[in-house]
Amino acid sequence: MSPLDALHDPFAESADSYHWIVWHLPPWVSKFMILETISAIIVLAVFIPVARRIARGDVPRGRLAHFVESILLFIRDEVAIPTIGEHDYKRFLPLLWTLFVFIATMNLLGMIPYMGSPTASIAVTGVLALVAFFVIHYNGIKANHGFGKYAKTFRVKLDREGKLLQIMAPVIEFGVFWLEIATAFIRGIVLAIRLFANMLAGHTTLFVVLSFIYMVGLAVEQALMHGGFFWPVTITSVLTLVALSLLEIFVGLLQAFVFVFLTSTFIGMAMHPEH
Amino acid sequence: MKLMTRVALMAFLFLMFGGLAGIGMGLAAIGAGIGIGLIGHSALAGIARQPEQAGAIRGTMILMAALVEGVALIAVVFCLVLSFIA
Repeated sequence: MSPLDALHDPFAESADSYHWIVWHLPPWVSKFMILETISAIIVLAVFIPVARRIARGDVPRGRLAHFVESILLFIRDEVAIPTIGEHDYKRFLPLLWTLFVFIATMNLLGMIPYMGSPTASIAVTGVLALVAFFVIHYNGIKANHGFGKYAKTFRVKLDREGKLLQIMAPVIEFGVFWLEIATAFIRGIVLAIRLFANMLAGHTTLFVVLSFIYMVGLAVEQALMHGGFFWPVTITSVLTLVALSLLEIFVGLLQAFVFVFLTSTFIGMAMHPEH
Repeated sequence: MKLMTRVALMAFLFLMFGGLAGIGMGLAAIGAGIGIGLIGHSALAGIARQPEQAGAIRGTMILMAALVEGVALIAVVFCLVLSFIA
């Protein structure tokens, strides 16, 4: 039981947070699936005309083309080349571009009222992290010529100076080897949870700030609180909401960038191990 | 006696309304605050030493802040889930 159970949602019959009541759709279609499709359609509608124009060899003109070009060049120059290296980055650019634009669109879709972010569900971010995980380790195996050699890169070498290290070194190396393997899985999981937690916490905070208005209204109506509290609380809540929404837009874009940056860093580390 | 019943009532309300989850969230907020504060501190020191690198330093600062914030938010979301299931 939590205090939020006391809130009665007047729209509960028409929409809980996972399903929109849309006629003629089977019940397993959730709201997030529809929103993901809308995000994909937006991304395709923006990018396919630009891609066609590039394939024809035109010089980009107009604000939309410049905007798209600046995003793509930003990902190429700041993310792909520094982390993956000059030789191999071209193969991964389509994946990184798609991830960035798709995740950013999904995050920003949550700022429109009555829509939501599909990334606020662990299932969606889990799949994105799974895709990144497979890309990272498949390319690690391919670049290191085989699964055995790739697993060898997880070993560390300690130089055994001093009596204590000469005794403990095999144990430490064994432990750190398994720690590195665990790190590979944990990084994938944390990639998913980071994006999910940022989106979920942001929207939950916005909801809680808005619900202050409702709670004060309820309390005033039931004569638990003096009526003069209502308007100051409402105005403060709405102003806080505006500021938090701007922060939420920034966080949405930033988390998409962090996801892509970390994916490309891990790809670079898997393909060119430091030790 | 009255003090004891009052303390017992407050302990009961604290545990019933997810009190320990609230403490967990507060600790996560402290961690985030300290971490991002340190990042901002070193970023400002770097910009003060070499103002011409301000752009690169600012970009790295935002990236690091997002990573530290991610850890704190993971803790917050786990506490949120805990407060509903317990």
